[in-house]
Amino acid sequence: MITADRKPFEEIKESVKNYKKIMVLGCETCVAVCQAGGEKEVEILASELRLAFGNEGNKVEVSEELVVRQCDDEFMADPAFLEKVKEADVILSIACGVGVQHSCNYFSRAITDKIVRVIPGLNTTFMGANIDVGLWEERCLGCGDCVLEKTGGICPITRCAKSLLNGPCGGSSNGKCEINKDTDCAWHLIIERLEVLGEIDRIKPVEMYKDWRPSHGGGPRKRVREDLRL
Amino acid sequence: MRAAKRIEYTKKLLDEIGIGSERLEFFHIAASEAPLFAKHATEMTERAKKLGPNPYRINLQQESKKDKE
Repeated sequence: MITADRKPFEEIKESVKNYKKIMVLGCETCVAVCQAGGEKEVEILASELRLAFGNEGNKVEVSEELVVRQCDDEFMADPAFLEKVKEADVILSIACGVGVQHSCNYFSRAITDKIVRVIPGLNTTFMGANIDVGLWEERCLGCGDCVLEKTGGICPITRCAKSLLNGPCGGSSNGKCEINKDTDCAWHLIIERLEVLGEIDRIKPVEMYKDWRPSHGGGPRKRVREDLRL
Repeated sequence: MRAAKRIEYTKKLLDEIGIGSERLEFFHIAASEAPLFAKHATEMTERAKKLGPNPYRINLQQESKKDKE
């Protein structure tokens, strides 16, 4: 899933201080699962804003809304919801960066008689897995050319600080990476896993340089499924 | 303990919004420890008196007074 952290409250407050009608808009998918932008977080942030502005004698109306996915037109195409969006001076989106951009774009298409301002309440962090209760770790960079088949299901592009295709480097010590003693050396994990799988020979050939063209190097990527297009 | 961590988190929220984290506290009190409960209740009452009313409520009351006028 895509993970995110809420921006510091002071930063959020500063970004909406000039508006009187604020809509806190959450997203029920990834950021709800990582407890940054779901229903509960919408309620907490909206209450914080009401109390903080109220405390300063600043009268603001803070409404709370939630959509299933802010990165998808179909979940925002509800006329009653769009009416509420129109009534707000600003939409404080606590979706990931994709959701913020997409809701901004969608509102500009769906609401033509008003300019809708959408600002972010989260810092989007990474694509990761829920490792334990309250713990998420990055697992995929979306490089567009997956090598997990060769590396025992452990991604060296994401989990090695140098994204090495031939590792480990000299900075690996007792299974930990030199950048941080709490960070596992991805190549240490890969070798251990390949030994368990009986596939250690897989890493013997030297991997040539990685083709980064399917990654972000070529600019924003697009995925088209012609059979699904109308 | 999870509840203690959640209290810490909520205290942070209270500081951020200007209500103040000292209005909230977490105590371990067993069911049989009535005197301890009374002690902490007194402590918190004293603290609440010292801190005064919730500033948000004062503002709301002032606003509503202005509206009535």
